[in-house]
Amino acid sequence: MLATAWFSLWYIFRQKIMPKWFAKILVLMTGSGGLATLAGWYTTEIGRQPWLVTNILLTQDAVAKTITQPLLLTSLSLYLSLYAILIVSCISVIFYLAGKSKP
Amino acid sequence: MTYFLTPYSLPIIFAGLMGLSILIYVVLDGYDLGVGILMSRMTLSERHQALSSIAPFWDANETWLVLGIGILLVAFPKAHGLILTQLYLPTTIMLIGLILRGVSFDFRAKARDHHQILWDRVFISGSLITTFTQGYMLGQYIVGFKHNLSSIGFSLLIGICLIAGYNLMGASWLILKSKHQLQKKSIRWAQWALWGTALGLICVSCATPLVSTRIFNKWFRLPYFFILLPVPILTSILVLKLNQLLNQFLNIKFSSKDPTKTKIQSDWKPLVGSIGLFILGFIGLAYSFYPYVILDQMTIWDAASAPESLMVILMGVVIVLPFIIGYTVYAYWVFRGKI
Repeated sequence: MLATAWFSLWYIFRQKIMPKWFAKILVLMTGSGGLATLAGWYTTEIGRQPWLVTNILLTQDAVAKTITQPLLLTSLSLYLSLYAILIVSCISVIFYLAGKSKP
Repeated sequence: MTYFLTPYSLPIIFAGLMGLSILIYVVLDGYDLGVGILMSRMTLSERHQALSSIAPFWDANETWLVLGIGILLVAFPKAHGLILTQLYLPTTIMLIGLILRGVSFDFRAKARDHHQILWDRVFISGSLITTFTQGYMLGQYIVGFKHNLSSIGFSLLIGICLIAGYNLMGASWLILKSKHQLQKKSIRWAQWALWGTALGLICVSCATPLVSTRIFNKWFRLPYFFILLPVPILTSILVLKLNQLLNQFLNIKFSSKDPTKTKIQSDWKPLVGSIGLFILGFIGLAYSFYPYVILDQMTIWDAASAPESLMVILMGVVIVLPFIIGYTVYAYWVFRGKI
Protein backbone atom coordinates (compact mmCIF):
# COMPACT_ATOMS: atom_id res chain seq x y z
CA MET A 1 0.00 0.00 0.00
CA LEU A 2 2.70 2.45 1.04
CA ALA A 3 4.76 1.59 -2.01
CA THR A 4 1.86 2.29 -4.38
CA ALA A 5 1.09 5.53 -2.53
CA TRP A 6 4.69 6.81 -2.83
CA PHE A 7 4.96 5.59 -6.38
CA SER A 8 1.80 7.46 -7.45
CA LEU A 9 2.99 10.57 -5.63
CA TRP A 10 6.21 10.40 -7.63
CA TYR A 11 4.21 10.18 -10.86
CA ILE A 12 2.02 13.11 -9.83
CA PHE A 13 5.03 15.29 -8.99
CA ARG A 14 6.80 14.43 -12.23
CA GLN A 15 3.47 15.00 -14.04
CA LYS A 16 4.14 11.94 -16.11
CA ILE A 17 1.50 9.60 -17.46
CA MET A 18 1.39 6.37 -15.52
CA PRO A 19 2.15 3.14 -17.33
CA LYS A 20 -0.86 0.92 -17.83
CA TRP A 21 0.34 -1.85 -15.52
CA PHE A 22 0.60 0.63 -12.66
CA ALA A 23 -2.91 1.99 -13.32
CA LYS A 24 -4.19 -1.58 -13.11
CA ILE A 25 -2.47 -2.04 -9.77
CA LEU A 26 -4.14 1.15 -8.55
CA VAL A 27 -7.56 -0.23 -9.55
CA LEU A 28 -6.81 -3.42 -7.64
CA MET A 29 -5.72 -1.39 -4.60
CA THR A 30 -9.02 0.54 -4.45
CA GLY A 31 -10.37 -1.48 -1.55
CA SER A 32 -7.07 -1.66 0.34
CA GLY A 33 -7.78 1.39 2.52
CA GLY A 34 -11.02 -0.15 3.74
CA LEU A 35 -9.34 -3.50 4.23
CA ALA A 36 -6.58 -1.90 6.34
CA THR A 37 -9.15 -0.12 8.53
CA LEU A 38 -11.02 -3.38 8.97
CA ALA A 39 -7.85 -5.28 9.84
CA GLY A 40 -6.85 -2.68 12.43
CA TRP A 41 -10.27 -2.78 14.02
CA TYR A 42 -10.27 -6.59 13.99
CA THR A 43 -6.90 -6.70 15.74
CA THR A 44 -8.05 -4.23 18.40
CA GLU A 45 -11.23 -6.15 19.12
CA ILE A 46 -9.53 -9.56 19.33
CA GLY A 47 -6.58 -8.17 21.29
CA ARG A 48 -8.81 -6.66 23.95
CA GLN A 49 -10.63 -9.92 24.75
CA PRO A 50 -11.84 -11.10 27.24
CA TRP A 51 -12.41 -7.46 28.21
CA LEU A 52 -14.90 -5.13 26.59
CA VAL A 53 -13.45 -2.19 28.53
CA THR A 54 -9.99 -3.25 29.66
CA ASN A 55 -9.91 -4.17 33.39
CA ILE A 56 -13.40 -2.72 33.91
CA LEU A 57 -16.00 -4.73 32.02
CA LEU A 58 -15.86 -8.31 30.77
CA THR A 59 -17.48 -9.04 27.42
CA GLN A 60 -19.44 -11.92 28.93
CA ASP A 61 -20.90 -9.56 31.54
CA ALA A 62 -21.87 -6.93 29.00
CA VAL A 63 -23.60 -9.21 26.53
CA ALA A 64 -27.42 -8.97 26.52
CA LYS A 65 -28.93 -12.07 28.08
CA THR A 66 -32.29 -11.69 26.36
CA ILE A 67 -30.91 -11.86 22.84
CA THR A 68 -30.95 -15.51 21.89
CA GLN A 69 -28.62 -17.22 19.49
CA PRO A 70 -31.20 -17.65 16.67
CA LEU A 71 -32.03 -13.94 16.94
CA LEU A 72 -28.36 -13.04 16.70
CA LEU A 73 -27.87 -15.39 13.75
CA THR A 74 -30.87 -13.82 11.99
CA SER A 75 -29.60 -10.27 12.34
CA LEU A 76 -26.03 -11.22 11.45
CA SER A 77 -27.07 -13.07 8.31
CA LEU A 78 -29.39 -10.18 7.34
CA TYR A 79 -26.52 -7.69 7.65
CA LEU A 80 -24.05 -9.96 5.86
CA SER A 81 -26.33 -10.67 2.92
CA LEU A 82 -27.29 -6.99 2.62
CA TYR A 83 -23.65 -5.89 2.61
CA ALA A 84 -22.74 -8.62 0.11
CA ILE A 85 -25.36 -7.25 -2.29
CA LEU A 86 -24.28 -3.68 -1.61
CA ILE A 87 -20.59 -4.32 -2.22
CA VAL A 88 -21.37 -5.97 -5.56
CA SER A 89 -23.60 -3.06 -6.64
CA CYS A 90 -21.08 -0.53 -5.35
CA ILE A 91 -18.22 -2.04 -7.38
CA SER A 92 -20.42 -2.31 -10.44
CA VAL A 93 -21.53 1.34 -10.14
CA ILE A 94 -17.93 2.52 -9.68
CA PHE A 95 -16.82 0.62 -12.80
CA TYR A 96 -19.81 1.98 -14.72
CA LEU A 97 -19.02 5.57 -13.68
CA ALA A 98 -15.34 5.13 -14.50
CA GLY A 99 -16.16 3.64 -17.90
CA LYS A 100 -18.55 6.49 -18.71
CA SER A 101 -15.84 9.12 -18.49
CA LYS A 102 -13.59 7.33 -20.98
CA PRO A 103 -12.40 9.73 -23.65
CA MET B 1 -27.52 27.79 38.43
CA THR B 2 -26.44 24.52 40.06
CA TYR B 3 -29.30 25.00 42.49
CA PHE B 4 -31.71 23.86 39.76
CA LEU B 5 -29.54 21.00 38.56
CA THR B 6 -30.24 18.49 41.29
CA PRO B 7 -30.30 14.67 41.11
CA TYR B 8 -34.08 15.10 41.01
CA SER B 9 -34.30 17.64 38.21
CA LEU B 10 -31.50 16.43 35.91
CA PRO B 11 -33.35 13.27 34.76
CA ILE B 12 -36.43 15.41 34.05
CA ILE B 13 -34.34 17.78 31.92
CA PHE B 14 -32.90 14.86 29.98
CA ALA B 15 -36.27 13.19 29.56
CA GLY B 16 -37.48 16.47 28.08
CA LEU B 17 -34.48 16.76 25.76
CA MET B 18 -34.85 13.15 24.64
CA GLY B 19 -38.58 13.56 24.05
CA LEU B 20 -37.95 16.74 22.08
CA SER B 21 -35.32 15.07 19.85
CA ILE B 22 -37.58 12.12 19.14
CA LEU B 23 -40.55 14.39 18.40
CA ILE B 24 -38.46 16.50 16.01
CA TYR B 25 -37.14 13.30 14.42
CA VAL B 26 -40.65 11.91 13.88
CA VAL B 27 -41.85 15.14 12.32
CA LEU B 28 -38.80 15.76 10.13
CA ASP B 29 -37.91 12.25 9.00
CA GLY B 30 -41.64 11.47 8.99
CA TYR B 31 -42.38 13.68 6.03
CA ASP B 32 -39.41 12.49 3.97
CA LEU B 33 -40.17 8.84 4.72
CA GLY B 34 -43.75 9.61 3.68
CA VAL B 35 -42.54 11.14 0.41
CA GLY B 36 -40.45 7.98 -0.12
CA ILE B 37 -43.49 5.73 0.31
CA LEU B 38 -45.71 7.93 -1.87
CA MET B 39 -43.13 7.66 -4.67
CA SER B 40 -44.64 4.27 -5.48
CA ARG B 41 -47.57 6.11 -7.05
CA MET B 42 -45.61 8.70 -9.00
CA THR B 43 -44.48 8.94 -12.58
CA LEU B 44 -40.76 9.17 -13.27
CA SER B 45 -40.72 12.97 -13.55
CA GLU B 46 -42.86 13.33 -10.43
CA ARG B 47 -40.41 11.11 -8.57
CA HIS B 48 -37.64 13.42 -9.64
CA GLN B 49 -39.55 16.45 -8.31
CA ALA B 50 -40.40 14.70 -5.05
CA LEU B 51 -36.81 13.64 -4.47
CA SER B 52 -35.51 17.12 -5.26
CA SER B 53 -37.85 18.51 -2.62
CA ILE B 54 -36.38 16.30 0.12
CA ALA B 55 -32.79 16.04 -1.16
CA PRO B 56 -31.33 18.93 0.91
CA PHE B 57 -32.89 17.71 4.16
CA TRP B 58 -33.49 13.97 4.36
CA ASP B 59 -30.21 12.79 5.85
CA ALA B 60 -29.89 15.77 8.19
CA ASN B 61 -33.33 14.83 9.50
CA GLU B 62 -31.94 11.51 10.70
CA THR B 63 -29.47 13.37 12.95
CA TRP B 64 -32.33 13.79 15.42
CA LEU B 65 -32.80 10.02 15.72
CA VAL B 66 -29.12 9.65 16.52
CA LEU B 67 -29.41 12.46 19.09
CA GLY B 68 -32.54 10.95 20.69
CA ILE B 69 -31.09 7.43 20.93
CA GLY B 70 -27.76 8.93 22.00
CA ILE B 71 -29.40 10.74 24.92
CA LEU B 72 -31.24 7.52 25.81
CA LEU B 73 -27.89 5.69 25.91
CA VAL B 74 -25.86 8.19 27.90
CA ALA B 75 -28.56 9.57 30.21
CA PHE B 76 -30.75 6.50 30.76
CA PRO B 77 -28.40 3.53 30.17
CA LYS B 78 -30.59 0.99 31.99
CA ALA B 79 -33.64 1.90 29.92
CA HIS B 80 -31.52 1.90 26.75
CA GLY B 81 -30.35 -1.64 27.46
CA LEU B 82 -33.86 -2.89 28.13
CA ILE B 83 -35.65 -1.11 25.27
CA LEU B 84 -33.12 -1.90 22.58
CA THR B 85 -32.73 -5.56 23.55
CA GLN B 86 -36.51 -5.99 23.67
CA LEU B 87 -36.78 -4.38 20.26
CA TYR B 88 -33.68 -6.07 18.85
CA LEU B 89 -35.20 -7.57 15.71
CA PRO B 90 -37.37 -4.57 14.70
CA THR B 91 -34.36 -2.28 15.26
CA THR B 92 -32.25 -4.48 12.99
CA ILE B 93 -34.93 -4.40 10.32
CA MET B 94 -35.34 -0.63 10.67
CA LEU B 95 -31.59 -0.14 10.21
CA ILE B 96 -31.71 -2.28 7.08
CA GLY B 97 -34.56 -0.08 5.81
CA LEU B 98 -32.50 3.05 6.50
CA ILE B 99 -29.42 1.55 4.81
CA LEU B 100 -31.45 0.63 1.71
CA ARG B 101 -32.87 4.16 1.57
CA GLY B 102 -29.53 5.87 1.93
CA VAL B 103 -27.79 3.73 -0.65
CA SER B 104 -30.54 3.84 -3.25
CA PHE B 105 -30.88 7.63 -2.94
CA ASP B 106 -27.30 8.01 -4.15
CA PHE B 107 -27.21 5.10 -6.57
CA ARG B 108 -30.39 5.91 -8.48
CA ALA B 109 -28.78 8.97 -10.00
CA LYS B 110 -25.37 7.39 -10.63
CA ALA B 111 -26.17 3.88 -11.84
CA ARG B 112 -27.12 2.80 -15.35
CA ASP B 113 -30.33 4.48 -16.54
CA HIS B 114 -32.35 1.28 -16.77
CA HIS B 115 -31.38 0.45 -13.18
CA GLN B 116 -32.95 3.66 -11.92
CA ILE B 117 -36.39 2.11 -11.58
CA LEU B 118 -34.89 -0.74 -9.59
CA TRP B 119 -33.19 1.70 -7.20
CA ASP B 120 -36.44 3.67 -6.93
CA ARG B 121 -38.13 0.47 -5.80
CA VAL B 122 -35.38 -0.09 -3.25
CA PHE B 123 -35.88 3.48 -1.99
CA ILE B 124 -39.64 2.97 -1.68
CA SER B 125 -39.25 -0.39 0.11
CA GLY B 126 -36.61 1.09 2.42
CA SER B 127 -38.96 3.93 3.38
CA LEU B 128 -41.81 1.48 3.92
CA ILE B 129 -39.74 -0.92 6.04
CA THR B 130 -38.36 1.91 8.18
CA THR B 131 -41.78 3.44 8.80
CA PHE B 132 -43.52 0.16 9.54
CA THR B 133 -40.89 -1.01 12.02
CA GLN B 134 -40.95 2.37 13.78
CA GLY B 135 -44.70 2.07 14.22
CA TYR B 136 -44.32 -1.53 15.39
CA MET B 137 -41.71 -0.43 17.94
CA LEU B 138 -43.97 2.36 19.17
CA GLY B 139 -46.76 -0.19 19.62
CA GLN B 140 -44.46 -2.57 21.49
CA TYR B 141 -43.22 0.29 23.67
CA ILE B 142 -46.79 1.28 24.55
CA VAL B 143 -47.84 -2.24 25.58
CA GLY B 144 -44.66 -2.67 27.65
CA PHE B 145 -42.95 -5.20 25.31
CA LYS B 146 -45.54 -7.93 25.74
CA HIS B 147 -45.32 -10.62 23.11
CA ASN B 148 -48.79 -12.14 23.31
CA LEU B 149 -51.08 -12.27 20.31
CA SER B 150 -53.11 -9.11 21.00
CA SER B 151 -50.02 -7.01 21.77
CA ILE B 152 -48.33 -8.07 18.55
CA GLY B 153 -51.56 -7.47 16.63
CA PHE B 154 -51.78 -4.00 18.16
CA SER B 155 -48.15 -3.24 17.29
CA LEU B 156 -48.65 -4.37 13.69
CA LEU B 157 -51.73 -2.11 13.46
CA ILE B 158 -49.74 0.87 14.79
CA GLY B 159 -47.10 0.06 12.16
CA ILE B 160 -49.71 0.37 9.42
CA CYS B 161 -51.20 3.53 10.96
CA LEU B 162 -47.76 5.15 11.15
CA ILE B 163 -47.39 4.54 7.41
CA ALA B 164 -50.59 6.58 7.03
CA GLY B 165 -49.26 9.20 9.45
CA TYR B 166 -45.99 9.66 7.58
CA ASN B 167 -47.87 9.61 4.28
CA LEU B 168 -50.01 12.46 5.59
CA MET B 169 -46.95 14.53 6.40
CA GLY B 170 -45.24 13.52 3.14
CA ALA B 171 -48.29 14.46 1.08
CA SER B 172 -48.67 17.76 2.98
CA TRP B 173 -44.99 18.49 2.36
CA LEU B 174 -45.55 17.90 -1.37
CA ILE B 175 -48.65 20.16 -1.35
CA LEU B 176 -46.37 22.89 -0.02
CA LYS B 177 -43.36 22.15 -2.20
CA SER B 178 -44.77 21.02 -5.56
CA LYS B 179 -47.02 22.40 -8.30
CA HIS B 180 -49.65 21.28 -10.79
CA GLN B 181 -50.22 17.56 -11.21
CA LEU B 182 -48.08 16.35 -8.32
CA GLN B 183 -49.69 18.88 -5.98
CA LYS B 184 -53.15 17.74 -7.01
CA LYS B 185 -52.26 14.08 -6.51
CA SER B 186 -50.80 14.92 -3.10
CA ILE B 187 -54.08 16.44 -1.94
CA ARG B 188 -55.85 13.13 -2.58
CA TRP B 189 -53.07 11.17 -0.85
CA ALA B 190 -53.30 13.47 2.14
CA GLN B 191 -57.06 12.87 2.38
CA TRP B 192 -56.64 9.11 2.48
CA ALA B 193 -53.74 9.27 4.88
CA LEU B 194 -55.63 11.60 7.23
CA TRP B 195 -58.13 8.88 8.11
CA GLY B 196 -55.42 6.30 8.66
CA THR B 197 -53.66 8.75 10.95
CA ALA B 198 -56.87 9.41 12.87
CA LEU B 199 -57.36 5.66 13.30
CA GLY B 200 -53.82 5.35 14.66
CA LEU B 201 -54.38 8.19 17.14
CA ILE B 202 -57.63 6.60 18.32
CA CYS B 203 -55.95 3.18 18.71
CA VAL B 204 -53.09 4.61 20.78
CA SER B 205 -55.47 6.69 22.91
CA CYS B 206 -57.66 3.67 23.64
CA ALA B 207 -54.80 1.26 24.23
CA THR B 208 -52.72 3.29 26.69
CA PRO B 209 -55.39 3.50 29.45
CA LEU B 210 -56.23 -0.18 28.91
CA VAL B 211 -52.71 -1.55 29.33
CA SER B 212 -52.10 0.39 32.54
CA THR B 213 -54.55 1.25 35.32
CA ARG B 214 -52.14 3.98 36.37
CA ILE B 215 -52.59 5.73 33.03
CA PHE B 216 -56.35 5.08 33.18
CA ASN B 217 -56.54 6.88 36.52
CA LYS B 218 -54.34 9.66 35.27
CA TRP B 219 -56.65 10.34 32.33
CA PHE B 220 -60.10 9.77 33.74
CA ARG B 221 -59.91 10.79 37.36
CA LEU B 222 -61.26 14.24 38.23
CA PRO B 223 -59.92 16.94 38.10
CA TYR B 224 -57.20 15.69 35.69
CA PHE B 225 -59.88 14.72 33.21
CA PHE B 226 -60.78 18.35 32.59
CA ILE B 227 -57.17 19.50 32.45
CA LEU B 228 -56.49 16.99 29.71
CA LEU B 229 -59.73 17.34 27.83
CA PRO B 230 -58.27 19.96 25.44
CA VAL B 231 -55.85 17.38 23.98
CA PRO B 232 -58.43 14.96 22.48
CA ILE B 233 -60.79 17.85 21.62
CA LEU B 234 -58.07 19.80 19.81
CA THR B 235 -57.01 16.64 17.98
CA SER B 236 -60.55 15.97 16.76
CA ILE B 237 -61.05 19.57 15.65
CA LEU B 238 -57.72 19.50 13.82
CA VAL B 239 -58.62 16.29 11.95
CA LEU B 240 -61.98 17.72 10.86
CA LYS B 241 -60.45 21.07 9.86
CA LEU B 242 -57.72 19.35 7.85
CA ASN B 243 -60.32 17.26 6.05
CA GLN B 244 -62.34 20.38 5.25
CA LEU B 245 -59.26 22.20 4.01
CA LEU B 246 -58.20 19.33 1.75
CA ASN B 247 -61.71 19.17 0.28
CA GLN B 248 -61.49 22.88 -0.48
CA PHE B 249 -58.12 22.40 -2.18
CA LEU B 250 -59.53 19.60 -4.29
CA ASN B 251 -62.38 21.76 -5.52
CA ILE B 252 -60.03 24.44 -6.81
CA LYS B 253 -60.36 24.29 -10.55
CA PHE B 254 -57.07 23.96 -12.33
CA SER B 255 -57.53 26.10 -15.43
CA SER B 256 -56.90 23.85 -18.38
CA LYS B 257 -55.40 26.55 -20.58
CA ASP B 258 -52.63 27.60 -18.29
CA PRO B 259 -52.25 25.35 -15.26
CA THR B 260 -49.27 27.40 -14.09
CA LYS B 261 -51.63 30.25 -13.28
CA THR B 262 -53.58 28.23 -10.71
CA LYS B 263 -52.17 28.77 -7.28
CA ILE B 264 -53.36 27.28 -4.04
CA GLN B 265 -53.41 29.83 -1.28
CA SER B 266 -52.19 28.78 2.15
CA ASP B 267 -50.63 25.57 0.85
CA TRP B 268 -48.59 25.43 4.07
CA LYS B 269 -51.62 24.78 6.25
CA PRO B 270 -51.91 20.99 5.74
CA LEU B 271 -48.28 20.50 6.77
CA VAL B 272 -48.63 22.64 9.89
CA GLY B 273 -51.89 20.86 10.72
CA SER B 274 -50.46 17.36 10.35
CA ILE B 275 -47.40 18.29 12.39
CA GLY B 276 -49.86 19.59 14.99
CA LEU B 277 -51.53 16.16 15.07
CA PHE B 278 -48.20 14.50 15.79
CA ILE B 279 -47.37 17.03 18.51
CA LEU B 280 -50.75 16.50 20.21
CA GLY B 281 -50.29 12.72 20.04
CA PHE B 282 -46.84 13.14 21.52
CA ILE B 283 -48.13 15.31 24.37
CA GLY B 284 -50.79 12.72 25.21
CA LEU B 285 -48.26 9.89 25.19
CA ALA B 286 -45.62 11.81 27.15
CA TYR B 287 -48.21 12.75 29.78
CA SER B 288 -49.36 9.14 30.08
CA PHE B 289 -45.88 7.72 30.48
CA TYR B 290 -44.33 10.34 32.76
CA PRO B 291 -42.49 9.66 35.04
CA TYR B 292 -41.92 6.19 33.63
CA VAL B 293 -39.45 5.58 30.83
CA ILE B 294 -40.56 1.95 30.63
CA LEU B 295 -44.25 1.47 31.29
CA ASP B 296 -44.89 0.99 35.03
CA GLN B 297 -41.48 -0.68 35.46
CA MET B 298 -38.75 1.92 35.43
CA THR B 299 -38.95 5.63 36.20
CA ILE B 300 -36.61 8.17 34.69
CA TRP B 301 -34.80 8.36 38.07
CA ASP B 302 -34.31 4.56 38.18
CA ALA B 303 -32.84 4.59 34.70
CA ALA B 304 -30.72 7.75 34.93
CA SER B 305 -26.93 7.89 34.98
CA ALA B 306 -25.11 9.37 37.97
CA PRO B 307 -25.87 13.12 38.46
CA GLU B 308 -22.17 13.93 37.90
CA SER B 309 -22.23 12.22 34.49
CA LEU B 310 -25.48 13.97 33.60
CA MET B 311 -23.91 17.34 34.40
CA VAL B 312 -21.04 16.68 32.00
CA ILE B 313 -23.38 15.49 29.26
CA LEU B 314 -25.65 18.48 29.81
CA MET B 315 -22.77 20.86 29.12
CA GLY B 316 -22.16 19.04 25.84
CA VAL B 317 -25.82 19.15 24.90
CA VAL B 318 -26.13 22.86 25.72
CA ILE B 319 -23.25 23.58 23.35
CA VAL B 320 -24.26 21.23 20.52
CA LEU B 321 -28.05 21.61 20.45
CA PRO B 322 -28.17 25.30 19.39
CA PHE B 323 -25.85 24.47 16.49
CA ILE B 324 -28.04 21.62 15.28
CA ILE B 325 -31.16 23.76 15.58
CA GLY B 326 -29.33 26.64 13.90
CA TYR B 327 -28.18 24.73 10.83
CA THR B 328 -31.56 23.01 10.52
CA VAL B 329 -33.41 26.34 10.45
CA TYR B 330 -30.79 27.77 8.08
CA ALA B 331 -31.10 24.83 5.65
CA TYR B 332 -34.89 25.11 5.52
CA TRP B 333 -34.60 28.85 5.00
CA VAL B 334 -32.12 28.51 2.14
CA PHE B 335 -34.20 25.86 0.35
CA ARG B 336 -37.58 27.49 0.93
CA GLY B 337 -40.14 27.86 -1.84
CA LYS B 338 -41.42 25.52 -4.52
CA ILE B 339 -39.24 23.17 -6.53
